[in-house]
Amino acid sequence: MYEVFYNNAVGNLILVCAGAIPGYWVSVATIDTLGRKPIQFMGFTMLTILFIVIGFAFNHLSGHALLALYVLAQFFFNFGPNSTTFIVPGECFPTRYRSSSHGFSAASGKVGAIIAQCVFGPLRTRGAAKGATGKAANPWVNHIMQIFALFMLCGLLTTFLIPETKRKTLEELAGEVPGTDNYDPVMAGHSLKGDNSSNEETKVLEPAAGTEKMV
Amino acid sequence: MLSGFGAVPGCIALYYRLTIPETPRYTFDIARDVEKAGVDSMAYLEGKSTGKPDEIKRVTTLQESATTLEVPKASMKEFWSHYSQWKYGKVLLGTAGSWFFLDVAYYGTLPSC
Repeated sequence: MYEVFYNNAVGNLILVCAGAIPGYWVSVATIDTLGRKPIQFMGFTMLTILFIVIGFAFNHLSGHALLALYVLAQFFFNFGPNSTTFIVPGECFPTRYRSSSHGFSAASGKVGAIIAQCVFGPLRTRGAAKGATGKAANPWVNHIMQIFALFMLCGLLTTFLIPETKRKTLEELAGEVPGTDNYDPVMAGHSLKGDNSSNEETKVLEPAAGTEKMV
Repeated sequence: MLSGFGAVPGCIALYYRLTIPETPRYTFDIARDVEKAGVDSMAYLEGKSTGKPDEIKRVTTLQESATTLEVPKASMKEFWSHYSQWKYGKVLLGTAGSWFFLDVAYYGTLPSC
């Protein structure tokens, strides 16, 4: 029993120290220059490729090669969607819906985690002989990796739906600032009330575009 | 044992969550408590956590503004009517969907499980 926990701990430490922590710091360094959306795109793309390689070459790869690929996958989880899926919903929604929407997004992530445990956990050992150890205990694991590649591809597609939020204020992202790309008179409350004060403010900031949208 | 120890940082986090001040953005925009939002923002600029508004002035302003500003109640209906517009709904679908797909693979490949 001690051996099992010890090996588990060492395996986790290697993955985290070599893959996850460097990935996270690269994210920290580049998230405001590359932007959130490119990082998420790149991350999902790399993960799709990595899981295809792991999945289809699983029985031809040595233990070391597999470890290297797992470490790389951890790196691109963290220099990729694991950071950005947390950051973007905290920024892209207006104050009224922000925490509900971040909560909704996080909750759907937890649903994914439950599916990973309940569906893919048992699938992994499908067709294994009783008392088998090592690779023989998880004969279906290569197919699981192939399925995960498909999931990463779906993640790549959903990334098209999110906006880029780097270097913008929350008010700008919520469409409350006239003259910016996201400006939305309804969200800003300008078209509802139509009071003079906000009209003048708009003219000062962006005469042509602002007044057109006010009508 | 292990999950028992996990409760310790959880309790510390809960303490901070209960005592953290409300953001002036929310107080001003959503709760429409203009007086408190102003004082809180000033306190933040001075490096303090929350401001202490003059309670009588605050209540008077709230009562006066109640007639001119309507304070919309947060409700599921309102949430859905906002997100059923594709323009806003697609963003929520994007963030929720990518988080979902990520977590399936992320928690599926952890060696501990």
